[in-house]
Amino acid sequence: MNIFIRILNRKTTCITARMIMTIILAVTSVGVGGQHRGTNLIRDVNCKKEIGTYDYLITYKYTFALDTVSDNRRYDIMKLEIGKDFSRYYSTSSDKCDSIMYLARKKASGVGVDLYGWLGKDREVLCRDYYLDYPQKGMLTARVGIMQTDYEYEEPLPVFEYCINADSVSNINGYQCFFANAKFRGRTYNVWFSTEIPLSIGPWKFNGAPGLIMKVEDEKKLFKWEAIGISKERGPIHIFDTKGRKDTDMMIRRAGRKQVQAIEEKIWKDPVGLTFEQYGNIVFYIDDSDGRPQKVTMADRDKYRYKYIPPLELE
Amino acid sequence: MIRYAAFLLLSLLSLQLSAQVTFSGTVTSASDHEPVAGANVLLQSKDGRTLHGFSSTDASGSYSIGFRGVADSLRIQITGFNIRSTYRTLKAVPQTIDFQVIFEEMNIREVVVKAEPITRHSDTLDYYVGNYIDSLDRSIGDVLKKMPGIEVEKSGHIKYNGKPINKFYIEGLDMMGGRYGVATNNVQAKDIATVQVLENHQPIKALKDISFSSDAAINLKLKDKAKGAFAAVLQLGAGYSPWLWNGELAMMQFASKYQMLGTYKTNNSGDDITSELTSFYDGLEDDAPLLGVHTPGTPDTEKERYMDNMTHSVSLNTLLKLKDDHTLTINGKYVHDLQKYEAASTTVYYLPEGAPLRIVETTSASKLADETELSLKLEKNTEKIFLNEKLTFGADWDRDRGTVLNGQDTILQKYTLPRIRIKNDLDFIKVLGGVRFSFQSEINAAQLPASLHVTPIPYPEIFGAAATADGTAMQSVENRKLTTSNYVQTSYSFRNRYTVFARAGFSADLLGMESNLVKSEATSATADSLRNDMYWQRLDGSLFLGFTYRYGRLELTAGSNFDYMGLVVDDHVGASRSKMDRLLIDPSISIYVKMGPNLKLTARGALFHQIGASGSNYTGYMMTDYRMISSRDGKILESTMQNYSTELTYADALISLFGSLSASYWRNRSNLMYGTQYYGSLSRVESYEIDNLSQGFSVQARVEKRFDDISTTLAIPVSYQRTYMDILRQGEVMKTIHYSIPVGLEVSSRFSRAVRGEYSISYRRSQSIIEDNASKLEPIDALHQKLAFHFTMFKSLTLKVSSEHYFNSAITSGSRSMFFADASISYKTRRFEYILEGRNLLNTDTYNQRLYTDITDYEYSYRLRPVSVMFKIKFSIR
Repeated sequence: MNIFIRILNRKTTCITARMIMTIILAVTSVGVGGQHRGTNLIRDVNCKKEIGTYDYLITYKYTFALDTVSDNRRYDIMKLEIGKDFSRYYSTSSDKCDSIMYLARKKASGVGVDLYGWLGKDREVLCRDYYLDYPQKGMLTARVGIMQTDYEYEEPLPVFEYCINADSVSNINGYQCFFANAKFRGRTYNVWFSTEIPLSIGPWKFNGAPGLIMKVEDEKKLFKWEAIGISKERGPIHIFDTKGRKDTDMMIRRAGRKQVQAIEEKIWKDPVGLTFEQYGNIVFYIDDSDGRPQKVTMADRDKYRYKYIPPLELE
Repeated sequence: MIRYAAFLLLSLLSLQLSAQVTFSGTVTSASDHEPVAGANVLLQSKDGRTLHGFSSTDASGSYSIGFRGVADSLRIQITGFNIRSTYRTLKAVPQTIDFQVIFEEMNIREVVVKAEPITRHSDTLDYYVGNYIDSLDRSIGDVLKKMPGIEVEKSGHIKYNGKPINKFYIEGLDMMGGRYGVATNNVQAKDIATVQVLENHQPIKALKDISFSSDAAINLKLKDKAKGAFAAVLQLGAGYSPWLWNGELAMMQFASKYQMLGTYKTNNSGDDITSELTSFYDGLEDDAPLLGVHTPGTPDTEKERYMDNMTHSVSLNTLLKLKDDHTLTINGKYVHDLQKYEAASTTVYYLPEGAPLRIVETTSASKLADETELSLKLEKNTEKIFLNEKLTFGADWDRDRGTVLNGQDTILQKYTLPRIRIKNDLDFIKVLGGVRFSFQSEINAAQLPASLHVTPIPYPEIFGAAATADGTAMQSVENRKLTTSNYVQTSYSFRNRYTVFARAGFSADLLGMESNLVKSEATSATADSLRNDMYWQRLDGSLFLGFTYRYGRLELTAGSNFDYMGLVVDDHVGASRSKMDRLLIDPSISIYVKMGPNLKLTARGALFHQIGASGSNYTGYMMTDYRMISSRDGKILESTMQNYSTELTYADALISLFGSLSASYWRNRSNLMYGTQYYGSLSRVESYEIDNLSQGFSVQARVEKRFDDISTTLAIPVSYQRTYMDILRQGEVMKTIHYSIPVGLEVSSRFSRAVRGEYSISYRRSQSIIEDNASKLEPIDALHQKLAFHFTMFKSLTLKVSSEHYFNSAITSGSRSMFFADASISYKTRRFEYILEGRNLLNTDTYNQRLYTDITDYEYSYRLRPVSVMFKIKFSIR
């Protein structure tokens, strides 16, 4: 079932409504992959706040599955900014979409904006930010953007138990890498790290290895991270902060990790319910299998369901 | 299996037997002795190749790490964020080891992110330079050549999907105008992050979505570090055979409010530095002079093989962003150029009856030119208003000399042309709601006083029955020209689908021409048959009515121009005046269909009338070449031209596949023919009132594919052209057909980081056919192959070797095949590059060529530059 969601939010201002309409039309025109692209938050660049500086920048290609049966994989290009005290891991696609929207709003020409047209085949926009050792040492802050809300949760920095295979050495990006296994929240990962870059960090929540993590793959081959760029450069680390700002419609909500997991699950389990919960009183259409838009009410929420999207954390 | 089990058992036993060894200690800072928290503690084999375990220091800097295994010695290494790595080798016994560490910035080997080579965003294609550039590329033109869908000529002229681009931007600013070849050839590739192709680019923002454009533009996006930075490249070179020099200086700066690009180049090494200064679309009108020194055809090979030159060129370009969205652009150029030509040729003119006329000549000529051009442009380009005021001034001075050995005769020629040209363009568009008003004006003024001296006199009889060939024939022509065209246009858009537009205009072409053909020792007044004093005045009032209709992916524009023209031609010598009035109706239609994000179809059809091209008719004789004299009878040319074309383009960024297929048909009906009468090797051209029709068609296709996995670009161009034309010779009309079929294959591949190869082959068959004539012109098959390899060693040393083969099946004297070999080696440091270059290593001395132009058969042997070696030093600053 290939369904798309069209939304017209009556509550929003004129330009925002037009923008949202354009986004949704862009989603539908993209066709495949709409379910993910359409559920993304676009963040207000005006709310970006500088919280520190990074000295090293690692770029990862993150490849992931949208179901557990097919071999279809999507990807996003993620960046890991490593500072002395903390780090930020985020999606470059999401960052670019934020910028496109910012420029479009600034221009306010009313002609709409094609947010996702620049994305190539199979590239996705994952609105996920992870800050390690932030707000303080030993803590992790996660931001998960779903529809129009940025959910934030904190948790103690996860501890990964790496089981090193002392004899397994490989070369990735010209660096000698050791191989290790690590179990984390229901999944087993194969991890390659290089002690030549003594940064005890990696993509997503990975940390604690005695060198930079160059590659990670889960045993079921649903998720994979590969370092594709390594550079030594200095720049600011940002976080979106809406505190004290009345000029933004961006919403950040604090929640627990499990709560956020449950909301994420709704993206495939209950997309209609999630849309109503997020947007409230809206006129809402879903294209049927023949491509005809069908008006949807709350009563239809059990009718529509995507295929199971495997989450990273099973526990 | 048994062996495996035994091994496992032994391993378990050894584990049981070996006791745990624990190492502990603290890590402190060497500078302040404070404990270091979070440092990595690695337990390794003593050679460091095996990692037995790891730990990290706690808040007090303490660590503890255990080892269970068999080893005499082990190594403990301390690493961490900005910690200088340190280790100690120790006995595998429990012990306490403390470390003191030094904090310093880590040095890491950078890994550059490889972006997807091309991405599409609506009508914009982003080519990431990093995916195409290699250590051999210097200018952005070197990289553009490798990008699928883009072709770059030596002059820097760029085509996208087979069509010339309509704008060239740097960071969105149009500093170069039509003379963008200077930027293509001089902007450094390493400064560019992305090349954007803007398909269907309408440069005037106020006409966006109103006036369709099928042309593409190029925009160079700079790397952040290059933005606003001043960069300069200086090259000095010297070589031998003959003594050679080659110097270049390019300076540039591209900031957000100011851009500058200046070059000075000089050489006598055959390197073409003037064609990049050509304006590809907005230069001064190039009025071809009526006279000239006889020069041979030049080889269709690289200019550095044959060009005997001594050239200096200067180009200065600057752009300033002013207040209120205005930009001011100043472009200037100066060229001092001496070119020498030397060739032996045979020209065969096929005639209606009898044997063809055969002329054997040995030609040498030198052309000395000083050329300068300066333009100032003020522009405002916003969605609501467009203003463009551009003033261009050009002054040239040509001094040419030539010698032709024709049989036993040696003919000397001398030609001078000081030329002054001025052009003013003014465009203004204002948008008020759905209505657009625009005004366009162009004024051209030129003065071209040319003279040609020929010794001995080629046509003594025209000076009188008793005249002899002794002495010099002197032809002078003075042309003065003023043309102007001015239009007002309005358009109105409604229902988001329709735009109607009307354009009213007035144009005037005023031309005065005086010519005089005299003998050097002439004492009496020139005969009327040898002089002209003409004045042409053409005034046009026109109205264009049209509409555009858009529906989904279709856009249709149709309209017609209604032109009422009046032409007056005064012949002051013959004391006659011709007048003509006509209402000309020229309809046109164009259709554009975006069949998908990658597939586009364009079709066009147009009819237009051409009447009395100024300067096309004059009654007195004029010596235009040492063996050609012409008069144009006084009749006014009237012709009707029809043009139909269609084009299908495909550009798929995801799979890097580009292709275009185009077809066109044209037919031209005219009332006059220019006939040639041959008298030995001399000829006279005169016009005759004979209705005639010429027509032709062409089909062109090009497919280009980039295979990113193997870094290979493959292109296949194919085309076919056929022309039907009537030619008048010796007073008889000859029906002729000419066709040509060029096909080719171009491959460029990077085999590894160290080796890159290029191969191209092109084949062309061409033939001219004269209907109902005994003379048969055999088809000519021409082939050109080029193979080049580039080797990069130690990143900074590059070797380039290339070879070329030319073949022409129709050569009758000399070799049909010509081979060339060139090589260069360069060593590059951060700022310097040293280049040793060898050209024409096989010392091939002549280039033989044979070709047909209509039913004239031209075969020549051109003298080439000898083997040469040059050493160059290049220095770059930023």
